[in-house]
Amino acid sequence: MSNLRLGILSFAHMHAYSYAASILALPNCELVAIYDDDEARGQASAEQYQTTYADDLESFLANNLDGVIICSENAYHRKHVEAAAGKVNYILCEKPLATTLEDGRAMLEQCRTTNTHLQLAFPVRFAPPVERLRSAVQAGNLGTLYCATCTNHGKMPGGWFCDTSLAGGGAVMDHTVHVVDALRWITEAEVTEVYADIRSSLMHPKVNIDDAGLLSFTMTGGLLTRPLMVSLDASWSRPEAYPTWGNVTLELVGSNGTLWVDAFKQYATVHSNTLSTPEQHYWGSNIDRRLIADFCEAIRTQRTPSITGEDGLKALEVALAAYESAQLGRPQHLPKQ
Amino acid sequence: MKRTGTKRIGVVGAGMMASWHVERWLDLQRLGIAGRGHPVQIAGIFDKNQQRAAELANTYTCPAFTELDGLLAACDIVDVCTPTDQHADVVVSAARVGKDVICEKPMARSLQDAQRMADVCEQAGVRLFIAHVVRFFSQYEGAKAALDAGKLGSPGVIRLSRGGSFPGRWYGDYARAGGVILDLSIHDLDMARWCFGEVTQVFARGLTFDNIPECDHVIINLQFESGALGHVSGSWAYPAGKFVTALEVAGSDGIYEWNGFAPDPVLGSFDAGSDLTSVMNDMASPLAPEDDPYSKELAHALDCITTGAPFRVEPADALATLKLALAATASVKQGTPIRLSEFSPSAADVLDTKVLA
Repeated sequence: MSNLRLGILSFAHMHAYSYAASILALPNCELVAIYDDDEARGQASAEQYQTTYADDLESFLANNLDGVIICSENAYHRKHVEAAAGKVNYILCEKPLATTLEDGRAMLEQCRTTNTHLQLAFPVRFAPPVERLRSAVQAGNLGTLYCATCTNHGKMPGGWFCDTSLAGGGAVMDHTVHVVDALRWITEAEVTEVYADIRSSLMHPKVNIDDAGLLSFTMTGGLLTRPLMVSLDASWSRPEAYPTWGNVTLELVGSNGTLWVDAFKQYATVHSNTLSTPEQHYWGSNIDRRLIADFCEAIRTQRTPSITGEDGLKALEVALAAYESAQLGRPQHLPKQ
Repeated sequence: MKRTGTKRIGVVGAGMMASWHVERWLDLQRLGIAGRGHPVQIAGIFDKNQQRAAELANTYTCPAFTELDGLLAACDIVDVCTPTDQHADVVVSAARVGKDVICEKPMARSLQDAQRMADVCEQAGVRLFIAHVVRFFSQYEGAKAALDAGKLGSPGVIRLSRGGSFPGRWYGDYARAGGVILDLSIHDLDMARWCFGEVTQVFARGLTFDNIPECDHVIINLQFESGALGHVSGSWAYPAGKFVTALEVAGSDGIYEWNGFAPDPVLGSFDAGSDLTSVMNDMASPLAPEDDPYSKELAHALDCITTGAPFRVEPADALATLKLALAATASVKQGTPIRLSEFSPSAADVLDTKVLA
């Protein structure tokens, strides 16, 4: 079996580093080239992962790539997907899909007309505790589902994540899509009504973008036999001193039982005289590596990606509806009329 | 005239909460909890159900009264442990004969009843303490202390959850208990207000009006006057025997986290077929008697009544928490956010049973 030829387009999103390491760790795939609008960052990454830095996007895409992973700033996903579509058959795009529905729809359309497969990077689907939750729900173990209480907390990431023109929004844009996608995957249902309370600069006085967001929404259809009520805390509410990046938790309450999932609870604690605060050593499965392995398998077997552009668009819709709800102070209905 | 010696406690109601209180009063009497308070004794127990009153009195070797007036005449402090919808009448009766009152949460079933309780107690010059016991749980006091000490910075997002299985009896009767928000989540709504101050807007979803037998579950969004946000979830939908609480207070400089899934200090494992699980539930996270939250709460009330010091929860505070709980319940019913400044439920609204608006 020949190696899959993969390229990474931009290291603006820090997940690119984890994806690059995953490519190096996985058998039968190769990180052929890197391109980055930030040349210095691209050069450094190419050196770190012992691959070639392409001088321009054109030559990067001329590498006869089997797949490209796009980790640019959210607002640049569209231009990068549109540049790659038709030249590379498989694209893995970092979440969120885009910063506007218009961009997102245009990206899907471009991929459709060029017969390009677009996959979204929602690694939470690959967390084994979340897989266990899904199999329990799909087997009907919880009975009628009533409520999901979820969190995706993090630290304030800084940089372009706090620039609305590049990120499209702060904590709510950053975190909503992960949990919405996981819930859509678990229940096969769609979000139909969204309410949200959102605050800017609440815990980070000078950040000037939303750092706190509490969504309350309903889902209907799929495996659900009644509307599911959901709350989601998307806040950047972990202080800098927190021993890990944040969390993804889901409590699912049904008529037959309740499941509590803390997706990254598999850790040991490190106390060291060389550390100012304790550190968590995560020993659970590497979800980024599993995501990349899944992307590679899709390419190798020429199948439809497990997480589609449409999935990315649906999750983005919810994040945008949350901002609208917070702005207007009332629930918003989806899909938009 | 206030007695200065032994305080005689008259317990009204003979249900589960009454037995918890009686046990703690007896602990206070026996242990003199941490040097606080004055000697106490149980003056007796009254319940509309005479047999139940007699049984509880028998268990704790104290008198049972067949008339409320008889108990009121024989005690210094009335401890009201009746179902919610009866609080107001008992409290008003006690106040009118000049007795200080400790009353279980929620303060009342309606805002009108609660206001009447506060007014009558004030006019009668008696003290009224609403037993919001969560403010006396050490892990919750710790959050408030960390916040007050500035360790967490300015208020950000507070998350509180509390859930168990459906309690049955009168608790499950919406007209009497008011659903899971009024009976259970009110603990966390009170804690949220204690930590982050006044709430300006509430939005809630829940099963309260969905006519699902033996089941209620709610998720509540809070906006605080300070700009901070809060989330409270409450459940009467967990499997039998499961009860879980959790607390997280995040601010600009830090976070305080505690949850009931943290490993207990006493863990057990027994052979299949052994019936020691219930024993373990009592052993899992034990505290010294003086640190029991109910003992702390009753000792605090006794202390304040004796010295005239302000309660940790004054009636106006409990009223505001009750109003918030009723507003959250109304939001579940209406499906819209509710601004507290525009919310004034009539007694009829809250007693309206499970008919969707």
